[in-house]
Amino acid sequence: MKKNDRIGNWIIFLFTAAALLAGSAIPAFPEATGIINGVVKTPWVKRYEALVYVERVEGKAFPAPKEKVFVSQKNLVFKPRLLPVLKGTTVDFTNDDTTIHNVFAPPGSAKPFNLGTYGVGVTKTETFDALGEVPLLCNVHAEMAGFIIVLQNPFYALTDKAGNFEIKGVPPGTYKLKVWHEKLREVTQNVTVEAGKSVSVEFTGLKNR
Amino acid sequence: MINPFPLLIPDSPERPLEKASRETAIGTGGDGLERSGKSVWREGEMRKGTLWGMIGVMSLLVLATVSDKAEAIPAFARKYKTACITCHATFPRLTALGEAFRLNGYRLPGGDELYVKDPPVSMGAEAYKQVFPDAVWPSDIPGMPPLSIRIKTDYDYDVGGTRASRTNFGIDEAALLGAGSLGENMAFFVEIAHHEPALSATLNSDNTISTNFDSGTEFVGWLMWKDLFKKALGEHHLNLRLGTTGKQDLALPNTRGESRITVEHYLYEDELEIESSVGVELNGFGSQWRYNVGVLNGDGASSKKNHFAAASFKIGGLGYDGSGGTTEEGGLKTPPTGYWRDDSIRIGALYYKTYSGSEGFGFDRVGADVRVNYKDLSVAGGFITGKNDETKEKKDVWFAEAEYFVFPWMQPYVRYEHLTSDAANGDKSRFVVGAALLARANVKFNLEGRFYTKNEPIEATTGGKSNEDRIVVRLDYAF
Repeated sequence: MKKNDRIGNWIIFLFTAAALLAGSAIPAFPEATGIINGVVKTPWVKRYEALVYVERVEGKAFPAPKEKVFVSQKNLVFKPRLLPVLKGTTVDFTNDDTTIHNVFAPPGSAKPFNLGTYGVGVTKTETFDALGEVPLLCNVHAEMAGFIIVLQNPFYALTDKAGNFEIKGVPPGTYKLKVWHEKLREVTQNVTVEAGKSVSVEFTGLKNR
Repeated sequence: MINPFPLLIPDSPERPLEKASRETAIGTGGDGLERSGKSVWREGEMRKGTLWGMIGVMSLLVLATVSDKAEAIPAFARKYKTACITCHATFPRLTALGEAFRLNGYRLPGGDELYVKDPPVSMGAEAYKQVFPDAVWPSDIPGMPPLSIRIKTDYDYDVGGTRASRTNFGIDEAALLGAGSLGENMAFFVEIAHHEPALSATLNSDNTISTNFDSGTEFVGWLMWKDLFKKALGEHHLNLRLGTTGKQDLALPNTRGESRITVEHYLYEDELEIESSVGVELNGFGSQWRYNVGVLNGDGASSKKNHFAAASFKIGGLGYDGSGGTTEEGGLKTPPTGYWRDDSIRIGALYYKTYSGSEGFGFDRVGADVRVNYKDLSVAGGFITGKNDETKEKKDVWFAEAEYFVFPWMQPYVRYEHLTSDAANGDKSRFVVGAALLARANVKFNLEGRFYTKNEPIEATTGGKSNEDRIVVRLDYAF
């Protein structure tokens, strides 16, 4: 092989190698997603948050996070009061209070359970493997209330005090968008998400449970 | 503009004396309470004169010592951190929203919890309903004790000039009130009221005289379950009240004593002895209608129970259930001007039957009334007839009244009432003229005169002169 040919081969080789390396550093073409935003118009959002969520996204798997999620019991309240989780999530219920507590979900819940009564500083755990609403109660302090909503996918948001919400990273498609609120009946609207675009939704006329 | 009422309204350049329009339905401030009661016999004096005189004033005397039941409760002002005028248009008269609040078991329509500023004490989280019957049904109790105090004092001038003292100062009534809701489905009302003790006399049909001593202390209380069989019957349509039922609703529906702004009772309530006692009542309401039916304790001498039925129908204005009063988002609407305004027509009817005991006071009463509200004017009228079972004496009362909001704090009024009675010398006609003046939201003056154009039982003893004419200045306040 002539010298010029060898140099040319090296250049081609180096170039190809560089391209391959660069190509491996470039992420795969990002999946195009859209944004759902809007407002839930009800005065109740000033008192308690509403949860807006995409009911179901087909064709994709959404494994539960490996990290645990916490619900604390302190000053005789569940904190957070409303916790959306992916199906399969494990939640730690920690007694951060100065008194004994209990956590249970009543019959009719998506996941009835009862952790029993436990003392200060103790943590008990439950995994939520069924979709739906799970009210949290304490049989020592009947006034305590909390909610876990078990969802199929991670496309959800909690409203702010004005009822505004924004859900990012939603794959393109047509979905049922739902609003859950502890005082109001659940409502649904169809929404179509397009890649690279935002779609705005307004929920009004919500009725008391 | 010169302030003609410096004692009532402090001069303030920021607050011109003009009709107010409210920014929101929920404001801040205190509350007011109004009750009225007769003061003719509050000193406990026996009326001198003939037995006819006793008969003529007997019903007045007995009922003069019966307290009104208040419909203005400052505890709600504290609960919602709102002014009296949210629910009252010159207390105790209720605004349309106030009426919806009362009927709804002392809960604001459209989401009471949203407006409560004094959080109740939870007796169990909502989800405990799912645990029942393995748990007590959840509810709540008021945070602060829902108690209010009301005082009513009178300066009374005897126009007729037949009393030993033509003028009299007195505390007409002092009362301790409590009311509120217990969770979503229960409501309560209690009142302990004290007025001057009084002694009355009655001439019986056998010419004997019965005396009645009123100690001056009265207790009223009831508990109400709301929305019975709600899924089958609908919301608000069937409620059960136990206790001293009827007092707030045993009347012509749109001219109830508890809701009047005058000092003077309605003549029909006094003459036809419409007063409540302990019993059971069913009531319900929709947007344009409401009803009450009740069975009450009799006088004890008969095993038969008194009973009553009342109903009212409304055209226009805010619904009895508060419908038409919330925004699309679910919050309370605010009237554009004049919280007292509720352009509407209300037509009501009442039937009330009492059974005779040994004293022979069986009575049938049937009547109807109407109230028309248009902007700042409210006019009402009614007719009711009653017949005594034993004596067969028939009494008919008709009346008409008008009230006008000159300013939010000033409401002049006039009422004419006419009683026709089968009894000899039983007829009466009178005017009640006056004005209600709010010095503060919870402090009210009434300047009022009562003038008889005919008062036969008195005229029979006084030679044609009605000595029951009077002028009264009343101070009502509550906190």
